[in-house]
Amino acid sequence: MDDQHASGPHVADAVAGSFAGLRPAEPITHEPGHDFPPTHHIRSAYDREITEIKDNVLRMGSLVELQIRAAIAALITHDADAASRVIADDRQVNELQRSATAMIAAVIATQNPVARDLRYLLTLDHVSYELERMGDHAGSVAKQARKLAPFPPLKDYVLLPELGGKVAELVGGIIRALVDVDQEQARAVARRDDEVDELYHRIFDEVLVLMREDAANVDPGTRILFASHYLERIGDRVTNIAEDIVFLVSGEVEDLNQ
Amino acid sequence: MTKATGDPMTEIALQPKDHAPAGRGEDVIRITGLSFHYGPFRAIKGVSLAVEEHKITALIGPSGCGKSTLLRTINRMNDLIPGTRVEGRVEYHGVDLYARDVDAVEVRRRIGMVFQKPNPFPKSIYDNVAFGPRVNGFKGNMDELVEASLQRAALWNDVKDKLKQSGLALSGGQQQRLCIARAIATNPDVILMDEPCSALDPRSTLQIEELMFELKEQYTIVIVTHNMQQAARASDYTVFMNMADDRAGYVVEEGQTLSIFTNPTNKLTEDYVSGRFG
Amino acid sequence: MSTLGSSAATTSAAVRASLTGSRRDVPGTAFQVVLLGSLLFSLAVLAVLLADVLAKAVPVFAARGLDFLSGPLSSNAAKAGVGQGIIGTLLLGAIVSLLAFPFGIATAVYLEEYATDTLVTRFIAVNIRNLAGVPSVVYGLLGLSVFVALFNAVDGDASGRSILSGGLTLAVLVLPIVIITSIEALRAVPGAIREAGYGVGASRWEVTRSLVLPAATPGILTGTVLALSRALGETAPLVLAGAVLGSFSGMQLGSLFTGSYTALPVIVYDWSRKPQDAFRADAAAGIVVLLVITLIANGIAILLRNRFERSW
Repeated sequence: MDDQHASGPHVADAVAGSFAGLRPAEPITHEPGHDFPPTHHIRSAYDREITEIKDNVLRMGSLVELQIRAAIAALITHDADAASRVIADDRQVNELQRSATAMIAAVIATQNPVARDLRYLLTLDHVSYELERMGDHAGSVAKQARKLAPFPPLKDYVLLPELGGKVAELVGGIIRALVDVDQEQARAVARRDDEVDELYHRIFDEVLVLMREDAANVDPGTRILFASHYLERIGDRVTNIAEDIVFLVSGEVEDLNQ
Repeated sequence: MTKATGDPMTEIALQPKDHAPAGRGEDVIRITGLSFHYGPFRAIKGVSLAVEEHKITALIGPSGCGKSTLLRTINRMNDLIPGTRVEGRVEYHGVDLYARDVDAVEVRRRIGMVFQKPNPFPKSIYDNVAFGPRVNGFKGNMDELVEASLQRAALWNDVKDKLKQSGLALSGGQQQRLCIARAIATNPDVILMDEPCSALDPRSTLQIEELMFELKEQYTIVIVTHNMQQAARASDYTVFMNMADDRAGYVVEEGQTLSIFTNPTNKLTEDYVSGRFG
Repeated sequence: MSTLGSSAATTSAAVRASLTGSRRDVPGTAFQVVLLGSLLFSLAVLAVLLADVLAKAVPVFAARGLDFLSGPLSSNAAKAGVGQGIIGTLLLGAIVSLLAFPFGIATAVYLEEYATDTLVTRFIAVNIRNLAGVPSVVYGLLGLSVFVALFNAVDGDASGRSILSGGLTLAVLVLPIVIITSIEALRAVPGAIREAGYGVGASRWEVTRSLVLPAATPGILTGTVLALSRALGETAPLVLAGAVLGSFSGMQLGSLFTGSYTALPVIVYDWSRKPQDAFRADAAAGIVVLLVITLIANGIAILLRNRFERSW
């Protein structure tokens, strides 16, 4: 986990230097969302294309949040069919991501965006990637729910529903921060990932205890561990998106994964 | 979340886009096997292409590849140069423009042209726009026609109080818009533009491109540009021409602009749009 | 640190020295002096000429005033006037304008706008330029042998020496000038204007009439001014083609166009050859009148040109 983040002054400088062309020249003190998405181009088609890409990504975000909640709901209600639908619906998230990337490539190829336009598009490209991965994780949670469906719940799924609910909230929160392009909102959401991590560790410990107690608990327990791991990964990706938003607004590369 | 009959996921995910690709519209201009000679020199060879109505078609290519020459064969402007010869067919709504009984003057009324350097007449703004209709025998309300043309060229608000002033007193971008108004005053079908923005500043260039976007609802536009970014931004179709070893121009590739700039089929096209030559 | 400072100071001093150096541009100044000198010399010559003429002319005007302007020719210097000459010069100017200008401009329009560039047209253009350089005496001979003989044949002896043949001779003389200056004026109209005209579906006639000619008018008018000034000042062709030297009773309304005639330059020429000083003074006064008429003609043409040459 730690090797993902650059360490030492030299590497950090190099990383920061490589972003020099992309960051704004002075610290930005905009109103939240004031200058994004960048519009008011002389050519109205440009405005429309950027807005369409933004809407596409926001649609992805809403979908992912729904998927998470649906996966947890399928788990609690032992509904294997509902879980199967979640797995199937991930296809739509993937298609949205492909079309977002295609549209971004088209705008870059034809409109030659620079400065704020370019940073915004690159941010959206990365966010759509993260959301696609989050969708995959939600699908994986649904797979575990499908496997758990025939069996009685192990200790009310040990806080898994609570974890799922919290993660879904975070996803909703970060999408709102993206709509508003508000770095303070983004930071606030990123901080709440601590709660997710804490919940995850509690589930981990409790399930280990349950598995040691009774061998019959190993099967469902393992599945619960997997599901909670995927949910925790979603939380980490929410933090990645938060870092993107911070960079977009302030031009600073910050590690929000404390 | 939308209220719907089915799965909320499906509702949100793939809302239909507005621009479903429809069938191709009519081809206003069809060029077949066109070769053009300035005396003994062959400037373009074997050009075949079609121009779809209500679309913007861009001709791009390196200097000397014959794109302006090709443009000018469409409205028979090259007739004015002595010693030129045309082989092949240029069809306009199915009519061969170089047939013996076709009057070049009538052709140019229906296929208008905007030139590289804005060239308003040394007359008033009003007379600039009115000139074309006058020489073509327009008998209706000239004031209305002038106003409508200037409106459509997005110039009316700038000049409505000074129609009697000289056309040359306007800024570069305004002059070019005046030339566009002048061209559309004769109610043409097609507007040919020969590098219309190359003498203008970036802001005027973008304004003209926005204007082209509005104009294509009523007219068909063919534009020659040496500015690739402009072709990428503003056109629906792009035709890439190159100069062969015998210095004759030919068409390398043509297609939808997005394909040409994201995934061209010909390596030469790819090299040109990537800036590896030309 | 201190070395950095002082070297900066020396560098700046060196820069100052090189920028404010006292390198003098001798050839340039000398050239300017020569140019100025030439201008002053030309002005001086003109001034001397004008002064000389005015000095001789003023007493004549002072003594006789309007009588000089209206009186007929006479062998008596004290009575000789330039009235017939003024009429003659004005009539000649009118004939030249009416004949040379339309033909000359039309020729220029044809050569420049309509004719294709063939060997024949190039041959014609070269010849027109040559004709502009032919000495005016030659035109006088032409006038004598063609126009005078023609009118003689038509109307009986000696009627050939009329103001018509004089006017025709002068018209032919200035025709090449009108053609050449009109061609230049037409060429100066930017091709872009013609292109734009063709682009909106105008025919060649419409482009020429409504776009090219209005734009070329100032230049064409300048050409006509030049031609007219030339015509008004010519003496030799008129003498050869039949202007009367010496006094005559003529220039009456009835035989205005068929009878004898004279013109101001001819009168001046005639008087200046006479031995009497009084006639020289009369000649000077005649020169002044001629200058005034030429200036008025030029002024009218310039006014016309300015009217056409608006702020476009």
